[in-house]
Amino acid sequence: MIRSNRAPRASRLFAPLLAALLIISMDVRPAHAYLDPGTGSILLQSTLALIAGTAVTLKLYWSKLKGLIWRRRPEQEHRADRDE
Amino acid sequence: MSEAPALDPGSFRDPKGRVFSRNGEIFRAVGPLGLEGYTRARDSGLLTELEARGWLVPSREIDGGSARAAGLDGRIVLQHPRLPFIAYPYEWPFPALKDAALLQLDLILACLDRGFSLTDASAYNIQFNGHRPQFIDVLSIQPYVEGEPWFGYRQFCEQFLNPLLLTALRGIPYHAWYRGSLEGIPAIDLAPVLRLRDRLSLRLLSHVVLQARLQRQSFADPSRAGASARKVRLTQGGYKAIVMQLRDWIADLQPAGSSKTAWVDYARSNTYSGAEYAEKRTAIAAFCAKVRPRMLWDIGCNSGDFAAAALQSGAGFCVGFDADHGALEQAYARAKSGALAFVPLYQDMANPSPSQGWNERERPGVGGRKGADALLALAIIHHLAIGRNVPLPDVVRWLVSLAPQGVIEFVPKSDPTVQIMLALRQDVFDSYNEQAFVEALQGEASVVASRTSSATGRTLFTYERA
Repeated sequence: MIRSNRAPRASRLFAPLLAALLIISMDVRPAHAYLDPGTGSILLQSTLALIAGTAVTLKLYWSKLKGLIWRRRPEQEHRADRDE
Repeated sequence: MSEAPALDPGSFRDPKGRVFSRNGEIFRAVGPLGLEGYTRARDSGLLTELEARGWLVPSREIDGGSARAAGLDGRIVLQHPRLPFIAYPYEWPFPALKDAALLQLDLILACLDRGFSLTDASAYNIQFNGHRPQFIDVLSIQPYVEGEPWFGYRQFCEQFLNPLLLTALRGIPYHAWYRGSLEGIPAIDLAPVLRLRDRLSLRLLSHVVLQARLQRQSFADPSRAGASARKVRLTQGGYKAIVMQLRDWIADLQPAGSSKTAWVDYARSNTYSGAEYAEKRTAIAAFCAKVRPRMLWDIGCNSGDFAAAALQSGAGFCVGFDADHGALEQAYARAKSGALAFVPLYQDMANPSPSQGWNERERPGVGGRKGADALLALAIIHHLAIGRNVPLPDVVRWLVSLAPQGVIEFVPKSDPTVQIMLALRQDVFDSYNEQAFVEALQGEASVVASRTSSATGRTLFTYERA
């Protein structure tokens, strides 16, 4: 699997913004445990897919870019791929 | 005389099938709800492929005649090899829970590639067969329907991700919490434990903070949330992206401050000399070479040095118990790097895992999972008898009850470790001495050998129950 540590770091730039939005809109309501809490987790998945999809796309482009830059030294790329 | 098949008390949640045992063999009857999914997964070759990779416990369909003879109904009956020992996620050390999480995610990706998905993400569906995690619930694999959300996502978070995050971000061991909350740690409960700086990560913000918030909102307005949730469509690309992102994240998690805990340096800083330590190892090896236990329990296994010696000398499988997280992480690493049939587990021996879950039978306690042929209890007796005030004869009786034969080390009061334990306490342990220990042991078993194991007066006693 292609892995790079840089893409998630880049995506962290959005974190403070999202945090601010969340804190502003934060409302505390009592929890009623009669509903399967899976509902909220399913609602989250469109957002998660967007975030993770963006990260995967960024990583793909990043590794392509890296591939272009480091084309003359392919052994570097192999080492990065094996870094599991 | 063959017995009637007994329903596994933990196998009731998923109506797609039921697990039975009979004469020590494990069967799974596929019910009407699981039939189509199972046959499609089987015919696609996916199950064979996952079995070949070692990810899925093997299944063998038994013919109708032998199924009926075994007293099993169900259109299809599968037989699985019996696992040497069943352990639960609240007993796994951190790296074991992490490897189990990675296996769960890899399975999802492999299934999606072949047009299947998993109906749940229960950590109890994974067992360690030696050092390798293995998925045991073949009926969780069902045909994937385009657009379906990841139904097991909440369960994955509660049973894998959140416990790992608790330890990785805050250095809090998840075991006690998880043991008390069998379904895992909900995002709503984890979120308040996180610091502001933990929250400044998009992954954490989305998977924990936002999830907790959406769950609260769903509680507040269930009908509206339910209606919206039914409309959620997840593309396969999005599904895989979430799983891959989680995989990358979890692969990098380490316990916070995972350096030294009390016992990690045991092998070097204990009160033995190097030669005494080597001699103890030789004695354990000799015992295992003679007894050749199929299943050995090592109580107080520390980093697994003696367990490894036992396995090299004739023990078939070893389950180790210890209460020190750092030592267990080392033991797990030892099992993994040496490909040992060794499963180190978290256990406070003065308060072992109880039988719990539905009807107190769903997840048996340590006492309900006995089956050791031999026991090692090295440098543990003083921790129970002095550290926890358990009367010495009770400790001996309990240890001997675990296996018909074994090696128990007696640690005298004069030993520097015991001296440290007593330094700030009143010595109320008048009856803690070797003579009382031997008398207690002889009351339960025959003492077949004894040898001094340290200059400080520790002694190894080999017992055999009549």
